[in-house]
Amino acid sequence: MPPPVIELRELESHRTALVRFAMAQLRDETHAEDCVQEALSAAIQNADLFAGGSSVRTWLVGILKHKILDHFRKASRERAIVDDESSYDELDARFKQDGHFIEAPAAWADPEQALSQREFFEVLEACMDRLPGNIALVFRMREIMGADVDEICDELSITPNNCWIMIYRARMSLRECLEKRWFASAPGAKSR
Amino acid sequence: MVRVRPGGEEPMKLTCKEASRLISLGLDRELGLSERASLRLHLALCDTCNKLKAHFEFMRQALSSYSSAGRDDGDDDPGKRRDL
Repeated sequence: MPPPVIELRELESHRTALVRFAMAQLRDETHAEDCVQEALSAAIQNADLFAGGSSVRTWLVGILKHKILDHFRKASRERAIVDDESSYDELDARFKQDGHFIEAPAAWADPEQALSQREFFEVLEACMDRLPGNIALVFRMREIMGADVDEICDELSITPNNCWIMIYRARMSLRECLEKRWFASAPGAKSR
Repeated sequence: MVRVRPGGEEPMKLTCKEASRLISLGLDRELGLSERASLRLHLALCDTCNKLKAHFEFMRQALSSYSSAGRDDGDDDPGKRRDL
């Protein structure tokens, strides 16, 4: 079988979507454009490595993630990421003294269906935006860039324990936000 | 969930607070044997923490499909592909 051929025009057709993705991660247009440019250049140079198994978009986003991670790495050298010393205990506000939830998580109606709705992703993005800076950074590296905790610790010079706490805090906040802003009010989400 | 705590510490018994941390941790590293055992015990009894776990797993799925879809102007709707 001949290797799949990707045309330059096709790569360019993904630019807008890539910039939007990078913007969501970096919150800075210039940096986002730079990362996308680097990703597209890398894609052009390595077009023969495209396996053809996944979509071109998926492949490009994969390259872009590496470029964004590089960017985070450089940025973390310039401004030290504050080692978040706050312990788990700060989160106790969500729990009673005996360790029970004050407000128990609700059942989410048809979460699978949410994944096919653009509005859901808008809410997801808005909820991600509400996470505090360092927590958002660590959480994005983990869940969107797919970095593992060791990598994140290396790159940001924080301890694994801190990393886990920050990710936990992100998950708890994001969960509450999605519950409040989507699952409690989404059409068809009335079954409780 | 109704939990009685008969006198004395029971190291295997987790509170929801502890369980929620382990559920999160389990998404980022492999849990140890006793961590897994106590979490399994808790989840067998606690509906709330099962919900929490499902929510965390769903969030991971949502964030990864959010990134692989690359969110375009609707021409690449991840929901569409599943219908093929």
